Amino acid sequence: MTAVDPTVDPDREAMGGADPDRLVEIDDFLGDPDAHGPRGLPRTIIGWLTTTDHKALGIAYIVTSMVFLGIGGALAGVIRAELAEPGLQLVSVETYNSVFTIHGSVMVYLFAVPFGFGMANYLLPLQIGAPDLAFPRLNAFSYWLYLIGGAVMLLGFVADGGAASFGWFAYPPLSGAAGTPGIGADMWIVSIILTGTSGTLTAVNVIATVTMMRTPGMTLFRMPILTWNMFITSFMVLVAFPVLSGALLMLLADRQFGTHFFDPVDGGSPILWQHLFWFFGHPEVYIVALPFFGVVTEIFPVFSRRPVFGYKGLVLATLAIGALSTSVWAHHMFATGDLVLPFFAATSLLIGVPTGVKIFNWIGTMWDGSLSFEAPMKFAIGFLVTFVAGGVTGIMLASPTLDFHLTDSYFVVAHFHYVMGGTVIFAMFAAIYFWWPKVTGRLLSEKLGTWHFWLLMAGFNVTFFVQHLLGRAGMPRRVPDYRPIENFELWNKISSFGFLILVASMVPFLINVVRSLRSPATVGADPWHANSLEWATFSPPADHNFTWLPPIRSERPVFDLRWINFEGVGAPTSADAWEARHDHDEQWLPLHQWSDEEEQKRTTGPRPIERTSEGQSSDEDRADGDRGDDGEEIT
Amino acid sequence: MTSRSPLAPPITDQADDIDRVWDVFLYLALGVLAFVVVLVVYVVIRFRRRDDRLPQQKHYNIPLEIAYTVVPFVLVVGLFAITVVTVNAIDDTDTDPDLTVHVTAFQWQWEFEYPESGVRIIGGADTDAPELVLPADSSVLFELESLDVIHSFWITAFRFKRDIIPGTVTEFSVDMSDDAAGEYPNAGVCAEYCGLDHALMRFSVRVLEPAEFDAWLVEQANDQEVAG
Repeated sequence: MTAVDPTVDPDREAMGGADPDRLVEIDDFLGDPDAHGPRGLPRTIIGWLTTTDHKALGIAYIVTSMVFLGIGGALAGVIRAELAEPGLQLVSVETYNSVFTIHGSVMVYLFAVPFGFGMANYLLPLQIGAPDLAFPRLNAFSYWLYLIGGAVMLLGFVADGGAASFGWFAYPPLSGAAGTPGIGADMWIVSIILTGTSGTLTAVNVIATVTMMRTPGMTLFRMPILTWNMFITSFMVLVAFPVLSGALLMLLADRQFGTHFFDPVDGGSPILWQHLFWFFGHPEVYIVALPFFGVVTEIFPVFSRRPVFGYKGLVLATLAIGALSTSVWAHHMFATGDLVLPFFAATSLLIGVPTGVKIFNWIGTMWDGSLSFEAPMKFAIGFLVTFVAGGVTGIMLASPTLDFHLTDSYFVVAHFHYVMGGTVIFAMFAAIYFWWPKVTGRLLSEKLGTWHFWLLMAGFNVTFFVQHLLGRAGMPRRVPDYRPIENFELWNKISSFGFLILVASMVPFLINVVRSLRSPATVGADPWHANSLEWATFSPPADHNFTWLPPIRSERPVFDLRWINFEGVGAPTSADAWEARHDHDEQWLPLHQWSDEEEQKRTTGPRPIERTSEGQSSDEDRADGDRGDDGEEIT
Repeated sequence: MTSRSPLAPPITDQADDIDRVWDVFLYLALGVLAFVVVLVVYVVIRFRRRDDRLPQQKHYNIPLEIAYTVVPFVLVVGLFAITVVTVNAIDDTDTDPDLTVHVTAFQWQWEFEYPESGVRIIGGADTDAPELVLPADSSVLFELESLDVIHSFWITAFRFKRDIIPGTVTEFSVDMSDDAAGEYPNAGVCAEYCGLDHALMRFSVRVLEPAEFDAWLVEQANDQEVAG
């Protein structure tokens, strides 16, 4: 024990100084990482094409979505280059219109949502102690649907007449056959039906997994917040995505089969499309955001050495967001005037409350903590600040009084790039730096991570902050050209310059990734001293994830185990659970007929914990009394 | 900033109201942002890791959690009250206006018609942006109609836009301020993306004193009669 430091809160001291000799390391329980068959990702093309492993598919989702991020970013580069000066310099108007349409569509449909699904794939079974998602082959099917859907959208660029050019929300009549002729528009519709179906199937899979495949002891209120958020997000997907797919089929029928759902000339209603689209579109915003809220809720506790502050409040806030998000859609339509404005103003303002609660939960988690600032924590704090900046403009836009002026201007562009762009990208990099050791068995360089973070922070804010001013001053969105007024020019130049910094920020990241992948995979199971179950298995995890699980008596099973030698630190019942498991093993394991090989494995492993009163360390602790086998048993 | 801002000054009573609401929301937003940023900076400095001790592990504080739920709720209710009061005033259509303007939007130009006098101003492909002329100190009703796709009629000096949906006539009314007279060359724009030349669908606004406006209207009516 370290000596009492008078500057330290006595409450803290009561927890005991951290004496590394008495802390339990997960690695000591796991033994030889390669004793349980192959680990890591498929190594052959056939392996990738046929895999149903949630980890391989998760990585496939994440890598694919980051490729789409690169493509969407390149399209953004075209937009910022064109807008650096008034007038047309770089591309034709037709091309520009396709570019911003596909930029938005790629970022929303092919990057942000699928990245979240990728995390759900990789992490969710690990976090609840399951060997895979409930329907592994359905999961593979979802991935391939997504990839094909994405390819169909991009192939629009080589189609006759170019890619779709009606904006990512495709308002008819402009998106009808007369407004936008050409097969590229139909390809866009089909693409989103495919990716939407992929998302719906993944949501079914996630709900089934969380409902049916939690390991014993993993009650709902012991699930990590990331898993909670994926779970709630999946319900929102089930509400929202089928509506979009249905509306898109109607639009396709209008274009191809002569129906008139949205065609005013023949009695259809363009407003109907807007209702259907935004009934998808606003839950969609939270479908994008909630998984990333989950990411930072995993990261703040680890680097603050504190539990999540207000866990249940946080879950309730997420549920409130999920519920309210289905009743705010028409705030995208205030300017139509064809609404009960106060109702949608009320729900839209109200959804700010649970969102604000989350911010204070995160700050409360850090409060009184012991904060260290490794790359994941830097990005998580960057997320927090960016998200608040985007949130307060959201409150402004929720008021129709102000929205009448601001909607469809660059103010809205700035707002949703803060909430959907900034928060997603900061939290995404937080996730990448945080789980990189788990996925690859390697660490990323902190020095390059620091460069990456500060360049991204600078680039992001320089690019998007001035867009608030542009929009308020009257620059509409979706224009390749603007009036050559002094400040318009200056602000657009600043914004385009900021984009260059954003691009530069990707350089240290890519160097970091390449360097790390070339280094040997030597990281242990739990390099960050984290909390949730994915850190209780090898890095990368073994096939079917777990060879061993700690008892689960709180939302931090790995933390409870690490501190099990200290009174009153972990969950109160976790020590009892450990004893019970030990007693069970002593009583029952001798009855088991072990083969020589099994006996060998059982008796040669390490024995790190000295809890038994007899002081005799026996290897039985390693066997899992709570469930008898690894996760495969409950499938 | 106001002197150099490209944003046109407010020229309707409604726009004055909207700017007042804007100020309330803006200062509150900046206040909330500053509060959170200060909290984060404080936490980052005050609670940075100094040694390997485990900090206290208290994971909830019900009174505090209630407080940080209730306070934002109260703020939001206040903002909602301001919103409802103003939005009802803005959205109220004047049934007996001093002037009616019929706006027709089409890809990618505007037509402004003054039905009482039959005057029409049409923007063409090779003309400059059309000019919408309005009287100061009067109430004006806008009837909006589209010939093709959705457009949005945005006059930045009104702090207001209204979508123009084909198949229906949308409308709104404003009360022009008594000191509104002046030229607003950059004030009008189509805000809803409407296809190829969406960016060029701009118009200017000129506000005349009521008497000058009447004279202008008579002059235009005569000109168009001669021309027509």
